[in-house]
Amino acid sequence: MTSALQLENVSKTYGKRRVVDGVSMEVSRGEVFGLLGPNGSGKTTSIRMALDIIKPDSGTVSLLGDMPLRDALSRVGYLPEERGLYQRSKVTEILSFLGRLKRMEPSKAAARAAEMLQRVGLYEHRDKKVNALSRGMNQLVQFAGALIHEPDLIVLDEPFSGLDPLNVKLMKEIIGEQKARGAAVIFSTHQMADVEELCQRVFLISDGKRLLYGDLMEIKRARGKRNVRVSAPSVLESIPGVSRAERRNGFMEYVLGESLKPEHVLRAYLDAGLPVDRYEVALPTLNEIFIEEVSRARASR
Amino acid sequence: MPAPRGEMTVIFIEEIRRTVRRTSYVLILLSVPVLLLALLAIVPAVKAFTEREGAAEQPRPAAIVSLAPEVPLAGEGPAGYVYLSSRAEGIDRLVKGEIRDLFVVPEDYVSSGRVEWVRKGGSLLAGFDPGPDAATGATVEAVLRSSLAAQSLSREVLGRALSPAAFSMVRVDENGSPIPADGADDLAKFFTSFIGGMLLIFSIIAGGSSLLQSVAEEKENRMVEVLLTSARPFTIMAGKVLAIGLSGLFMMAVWVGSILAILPRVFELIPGSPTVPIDAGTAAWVLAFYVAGYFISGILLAAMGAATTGVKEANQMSTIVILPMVAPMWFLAPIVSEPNGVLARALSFFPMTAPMTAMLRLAAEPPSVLELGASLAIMVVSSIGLLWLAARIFRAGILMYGQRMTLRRFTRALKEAG
Repeated sequence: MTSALQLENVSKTYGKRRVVDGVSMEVSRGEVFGLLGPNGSGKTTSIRMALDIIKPDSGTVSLLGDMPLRDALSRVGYLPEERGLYQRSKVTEILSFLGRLKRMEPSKAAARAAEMLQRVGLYEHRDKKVNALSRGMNQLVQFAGALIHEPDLIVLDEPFSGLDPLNVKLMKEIIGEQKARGAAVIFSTHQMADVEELCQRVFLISDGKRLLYGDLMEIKRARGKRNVRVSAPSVLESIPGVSRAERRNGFMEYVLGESLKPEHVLRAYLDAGLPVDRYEVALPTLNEIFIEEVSRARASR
Repeated sequence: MPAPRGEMTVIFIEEIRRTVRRTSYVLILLSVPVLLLALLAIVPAVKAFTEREGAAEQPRPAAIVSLAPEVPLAGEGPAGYVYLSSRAEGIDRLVKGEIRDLFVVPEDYVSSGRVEWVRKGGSLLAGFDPGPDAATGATVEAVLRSSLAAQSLSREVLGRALSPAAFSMVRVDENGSPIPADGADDLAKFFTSFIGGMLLIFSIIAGGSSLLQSVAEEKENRMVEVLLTSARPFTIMAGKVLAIGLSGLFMMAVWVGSILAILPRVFELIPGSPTVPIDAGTAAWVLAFYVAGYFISGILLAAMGAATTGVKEANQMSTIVILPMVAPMWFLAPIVSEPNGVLARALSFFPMTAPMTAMLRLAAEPPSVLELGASLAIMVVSSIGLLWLAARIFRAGILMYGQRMTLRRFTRALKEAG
């Protein structure tokens, strides 16, 4: 599969702080790629270097294969984390402007603006000024602007923040459509459930360094089946050898310690004479992996 | 099918569209023509009122003194005119305010046709008066003709009687001493340059500040990041500055056009009012310095917008740019009194003060073409350098979100943005 973005040993230092430290990653066309990390971990700086917004101190960036940088950037759609548009411009005008900036013919940009507004359900608001729209609508307009030129690489920094569930669902559908047509989507977020739902591969960065990189399922499998979920009328709040027990919506989740095996949890219930409605051995959630990895990295600092 | 436009063209068009739609731009653009149209409407009303008021007063007569033997003036003059016997007496009565104007027919009138029109006082606008108002001029000519016609009609006298008099204005001070005349040319230069300078100040405040706000707003709403993934910073800044330059030129064209079209009509309504002198050569220099000054201030204000945290802070910081641009006005007296002095020359070669200084010097005593050209060349080269620097600041600005601009942060961001 052709590479949409390749970072090779990229570093960036602000003052005395190395915010990105020797990061390498590759994103392929036709995949949704998750870029994860806690606040201030270097995600946005990595994205900015990838998109030539700022220059790396060292390392190389390759966008859309061997395409010249400016040509490649014209094939990129970007939705920054903190968003805004020209407040006094009309919705169609600003979308058309964003399309023309990406080298679209004016007539085609105008037609695509109308098409995208229909797709995000804002066509009836096309002649309104941006400052007359709600925050969520504003975000959808900017999302439409990032996709107006049917880019080959789409970079979405926290795209769902501030959106209601219906609009999140709509945006996820559109991301799926972009993937289906062969575009690469880089998706930066703190919402691990969204990453699990959308991404095949992930990159976890903390303090500018790579913690995890690769196929999400492989990362999970590599951790082993260390989560046990039990639904029962009465549950055990603690079991010897369980490192963490959490009451979830309708079931109890146990994260096993190093020496404990999943069947030990079932045995504990049987020994206690508690009936069990449902017993499931599961892979760890991305959220757990995230917390574990980042905590470990910070502890070793 | 039209080809896709270059990024600079797209940014240029968008910036023009956004600028000309700003309420502040439209209001400032229309301010001059509306003001002039208002004058056009008000002046007849004021004139009618003044005439009504004036009708109640006893008007002061004008006096005619003839020193030419071919033009003896005796008896009573026409209504509102008196004949006097000497120039000295006329000036004495003029100074005392007993007469409003004094016309002196010199000894060589028949051969020269010249008539001195002596007025009291001198002012900045003195040279704008080309001659007495039409009614007075016609009356004086009629007096001269009838006097000539009463003489033996030699060919020369007949010729003079049939030819109009040529009025030349002489101003006298409170003591009756002549005030050196400001040449119409000098006044035209002063008028052109001074108006140019004023327009530059207003344009910088209106247009340049609009660019400052535009860039600051882009930084505030993060559009800057989207723009930077679409075009080089230099391209973005060049597109913006050219757009603001064009909208500024358009504004100046509307202002100058309305001054040229409406002001003469206003003056036509006022008897004896000045004409609007425009010196073409000076106007060309003023235009060149206006454009260069406008670009330099626009670039600097755009850079300021990129370096600050938002529109509010940008507006506060804009004085850092605007003050040096208008600083030559603080030195108006030394520049005008010594237009080729050290101060005037030094300020002419500093890009931020050069436009206004050049206009003031053009108003006082035009510098050499070489000096003006060198000053302009420095401004053009500086503009390109400043545009490059502004582009770097535009990129660096995104590393200063939410941070107040300090010199240390600013230089660090410039370095770190790469």
